[in-house]
Amino acid sequence: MTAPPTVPPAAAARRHYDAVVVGAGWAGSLIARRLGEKGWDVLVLEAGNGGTETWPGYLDSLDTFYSAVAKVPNSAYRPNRAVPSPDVLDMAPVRATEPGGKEFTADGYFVQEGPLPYGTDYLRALGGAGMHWLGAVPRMHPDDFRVRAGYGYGRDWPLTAADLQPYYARAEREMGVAGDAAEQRGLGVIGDPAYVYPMHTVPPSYIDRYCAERLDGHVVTEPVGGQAGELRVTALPQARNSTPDPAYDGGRGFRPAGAAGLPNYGERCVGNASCVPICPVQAKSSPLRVQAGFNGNVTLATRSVVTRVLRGRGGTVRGVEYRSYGDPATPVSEPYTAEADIVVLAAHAVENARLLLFSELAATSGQVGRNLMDHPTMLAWALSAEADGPVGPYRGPGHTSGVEVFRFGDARRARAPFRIELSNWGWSWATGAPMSNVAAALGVGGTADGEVRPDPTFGPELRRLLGSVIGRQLQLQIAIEQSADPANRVTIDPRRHRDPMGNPRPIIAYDLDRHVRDGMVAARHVARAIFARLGATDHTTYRPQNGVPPIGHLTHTYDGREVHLAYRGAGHGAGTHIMGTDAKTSVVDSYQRTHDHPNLYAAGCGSMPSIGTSNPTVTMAALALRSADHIDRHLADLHRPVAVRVPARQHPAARQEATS
Amino acid sequence: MAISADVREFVRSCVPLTGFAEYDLYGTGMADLYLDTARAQVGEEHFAAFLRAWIAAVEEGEGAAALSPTHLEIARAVTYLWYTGAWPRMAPAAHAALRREKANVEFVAAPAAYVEGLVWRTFDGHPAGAKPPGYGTWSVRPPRPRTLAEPRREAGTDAPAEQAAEERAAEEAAVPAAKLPGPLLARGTAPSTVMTADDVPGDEI
Amino acid sequence: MINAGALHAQGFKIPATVPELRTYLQAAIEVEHLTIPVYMTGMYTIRAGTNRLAYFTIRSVVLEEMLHMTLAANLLNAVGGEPNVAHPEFVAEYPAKLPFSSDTIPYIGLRHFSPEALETFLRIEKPRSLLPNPDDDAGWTSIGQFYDAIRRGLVALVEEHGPAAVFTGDARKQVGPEDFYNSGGEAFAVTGLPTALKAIEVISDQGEGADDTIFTDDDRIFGEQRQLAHYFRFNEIYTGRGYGPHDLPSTPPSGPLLDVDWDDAYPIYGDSKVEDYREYEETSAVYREAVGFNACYARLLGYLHSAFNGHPRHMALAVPTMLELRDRAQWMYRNPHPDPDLADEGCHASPTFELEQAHFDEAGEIVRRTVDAAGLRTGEPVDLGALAAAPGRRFG
Repeated sequence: MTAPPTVPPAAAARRHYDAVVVGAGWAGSLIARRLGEKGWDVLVLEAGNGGTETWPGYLDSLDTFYSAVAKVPNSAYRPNRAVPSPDVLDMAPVRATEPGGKEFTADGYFVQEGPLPYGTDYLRALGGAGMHWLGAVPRMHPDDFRVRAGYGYGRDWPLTAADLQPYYARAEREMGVAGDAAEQRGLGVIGDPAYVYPMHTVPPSYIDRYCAERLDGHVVTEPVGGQAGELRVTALPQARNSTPDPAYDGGRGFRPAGAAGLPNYGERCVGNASCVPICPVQAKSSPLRVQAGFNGNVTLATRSVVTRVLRGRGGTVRGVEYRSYGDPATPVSEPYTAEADIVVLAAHAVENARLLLFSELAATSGQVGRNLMDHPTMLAWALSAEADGPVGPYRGPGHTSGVEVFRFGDARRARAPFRIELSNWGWSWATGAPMSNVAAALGVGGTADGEVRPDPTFGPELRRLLGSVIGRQLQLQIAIEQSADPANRVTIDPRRHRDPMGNPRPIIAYDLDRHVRDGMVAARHVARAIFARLGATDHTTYRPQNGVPPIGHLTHTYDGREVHLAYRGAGHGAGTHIMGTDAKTSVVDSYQRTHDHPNLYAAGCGSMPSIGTSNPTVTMAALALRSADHIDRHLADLHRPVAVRVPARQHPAARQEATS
Repeated sequence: MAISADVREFVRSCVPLTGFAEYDLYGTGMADLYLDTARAQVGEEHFAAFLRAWIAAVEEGEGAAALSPTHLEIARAVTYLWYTGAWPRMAPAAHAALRREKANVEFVAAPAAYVEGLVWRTFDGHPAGAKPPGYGTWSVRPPRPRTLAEPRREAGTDAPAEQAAEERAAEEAAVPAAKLPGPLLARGTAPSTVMTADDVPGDEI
Repeated sequence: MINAGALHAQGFKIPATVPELRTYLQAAIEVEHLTIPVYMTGMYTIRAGTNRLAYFTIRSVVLEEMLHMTLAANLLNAVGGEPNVAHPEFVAEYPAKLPFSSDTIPYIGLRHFSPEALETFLRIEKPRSLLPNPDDDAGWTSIGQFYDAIRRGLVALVEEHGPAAVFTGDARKQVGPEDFYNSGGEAFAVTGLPTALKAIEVISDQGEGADDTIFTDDDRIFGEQRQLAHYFRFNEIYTGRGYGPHDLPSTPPSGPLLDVDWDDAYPIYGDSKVEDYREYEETSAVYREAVGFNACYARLLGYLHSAFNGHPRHMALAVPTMLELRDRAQWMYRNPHPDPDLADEGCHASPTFELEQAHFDEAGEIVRRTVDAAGLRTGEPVDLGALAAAPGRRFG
């Protein structure tokens, strides 16, 4: 596949476009490509650096990942001082100075006010967080769209799951999804009885099978909501190249798209087992693929940081102001403007909110920046029984199956629902394994007082020990639904908190409510029951070590007792420009158009009133494609010869009509 | 260019440390880099003294028990390097004793070093992000773990028969918590600074 | 080689019967395979992380040679033949004579990444347009000419007997894009004259360029981005300079300088044999590992043989075995040559690609067990879950 055409930021300015799209991640890229295909003149402004669209640039990212001591989601992408990204490395736990006080510090891009850490990162670079994502694309369940009506918490969508079904299918084609449609229909998330995914399901891991043999059909009752869930290991739909299904698309089949920048590469997953942060062959889908399909109507400029949206006449906007920089290490920048009939913000939930707040737009509802969400994720880890032999961790995609039963049902009323992922990557997320296994087995680094440890293990004993204790690692990652709460929010304070280029930094206030915490308690019980059923030794602990709590630590009173819990961020930032029918209580309508400004759209997970227990990207992509269709109609209306609302300009398509 | 005598001696000495045969150590392509890294980290003279002490300890059949605490920590750091491609944070006492002029922080010796870490081979795996084994191979049942005797044979460090029998029994016993990592406190915690599980209070929900 | 040597010796001739055509197509599979150990040696002797452009360039050619092997097998299956790739004679002994080329061309050896290796690569891929005498009367002069003979023979046979009499093979034996991927364009089923001609065109043009240009036809045939033909891809590495968009086959590359460092490779003595290593069995694991490599190579050919003979899904077993060879090859190239004198000269150990009947007997048993256990079926999802790995071996 060829790299997308990019232009220098200066060349992109001082022109009038049909649409300006802010952000070249999944949402922005899908919208831009669609509008380009429809003949509209589109400018995409990406704040971050490019380079990964070329093969040498991509290999540089791979080396960056190899060189990183902590292989976190952003570790494959070079730091950018001009356009900083929030990073999970920014947060460190500390002893609370007072009972119930803040147990962490944050020194990164986000100003974190607490009381709990917002553990979600994203990437400001070409492709956005779509570069470091896992590629998990489960659709949301119909019940997830109406949690208020159905279960009395959170907020409801102005759309139903049925409305989104055709767009889900289109998103799955655009992204290239492998999955088992029959199984997903069984869960109730796919409506179309004839639908098949473009590619056969990504093969389940040995761990999946190991767990399925021991868990399927076993009933676990969680004590909080009282749900008796029958366990069933279910395959995860993934935006990852597998074997194409000849039955797809009425028998027309599907050809997987490969890597951007290198021909004939990445047409299958080869099991690199590093989807997060980087798929070395690009078998994992990314926005680079969508960008490679941009036609000549789409102009893409990187290192172009939109600073604010410009107001136009009446309630409209007329374009954006942006700054371009040459060197990511030195935030020296030049200002430009780009004018357009339509402005689409697709810069991530937090960035969209930041831009709207700084531009003082869409303010009527007072909801911009509010209802910030994530999937707080609990980790539980154990060693499988020695007698069962190794389970084969650190192979294949991050997770290929999960346990779904606690996502659904009436117990949601009592506690947040959760989806249990079976990790294929051992204890890496929880403990830094397998490297930390080597350190522990060797005893390197000394005792707590800094002395050399006396108890060495070397040679064949070391090798055997590690083979045993790494080869048996099981980890569950339990993603818990967090619902819309206006108190969880992004704000800005330009006088106090700016980034090196002078843009306001996001200030985050974040907490988990009782519903989520009750969900965490239930999840902890279920994890324990699963490990017991597997005959595995549970090594999970959330307690402070020498008085220092793990990041995301909290205590919660359940059943009269105080329990220690901890969560990590999932990277699923959502809810900051929430969607609704009422301009007084929501920011955008169901097409992600701001209620306040008829030609300003805010696209992405920020629009979602709830996120269920599904990784949100595929839902975001479905919404983006739906919005793209709407924007196309919107632009067509604007270009009708009568009732022109924006200064008229000849559109290529219109010109063609005039001469034919 | 021929492999130098220094590198050959280094590789030979690392066999009893790592439990991997010379063929496997050369197979990483990292021997030169690791020798250079170790020398640079602890100082040429310290490293030469360590190597002499280690070679003597192996020849006398005493192994690591004969090493001074500082030399023991160097032995660990060198083994950590072979296993992970990274130089670890050393015990502060050893760091001070060596009067190291380097920051005592973990770092990856080179991008290719991460890829060649031996830890992945202990469980018949491959490094995350490199040496991919092919589509669908993650479904295959992994091979049975090696017994202690197998790496011993490969490394040429066979144990006497009665000792081997005792060890077989020990192999089946539970793994001591001191040999397992505890949870990462922060995502940025370097692997060599993760507390061992015995230092972490258990969970009791 | 089973057929290629004999056909070469017989001199230039266009196949005149279907059995003759099958003999030619079996030889085509052999010729495509002949290059793979040569290119693999060039690629895997590159030091990790260096010479990346050269590495990915050679890799792309190796993958395309595998595509050509597969397309040649599809052609042979389409005309009712039976590809044979699991046979000791299928693998050439290196240094090997390049069949269907001028007898003045030096033998093709296994050489580490070096100007000498690239000269060999260029010799193998040299387009007809760059040869002094492309006339058939001069006998065999190029592989392109060999494929042209196949094309002419095939067209004449179809004209004479009709397609139904020529394309008698079982369509279920064809290896398609579901099973073979990541190669130039994609594998496709050969079901008649048009697809047969397309297969021949892809094989010829990827090697020597389409219509006297430096480019392949992949953009036209597969909708891929435009790529240089093999000869010109190699010439970029050899000269350390890229081609410009308007360069011609006869002119040297005029584009930007490329980063090629000949010192970032493990020098080998490519004519080393397993027997040479055996002498040092007591002091070096290289002997054992060289035997292990050849055994693994025999398993690769075993899976390919199965894939080409009615079980296209068995490609799913061949690809991981190929990747096992990658790891084994890299480990070996980094080890000193077991002969101390050669090691003192800086020489490293190298796989020998020597295959004997015993290797195939041993591999045949493992392959049979593995394919039986895997139970892969055409059209169904690929799932290797029924298999178990052995220590140091992907399957069985």
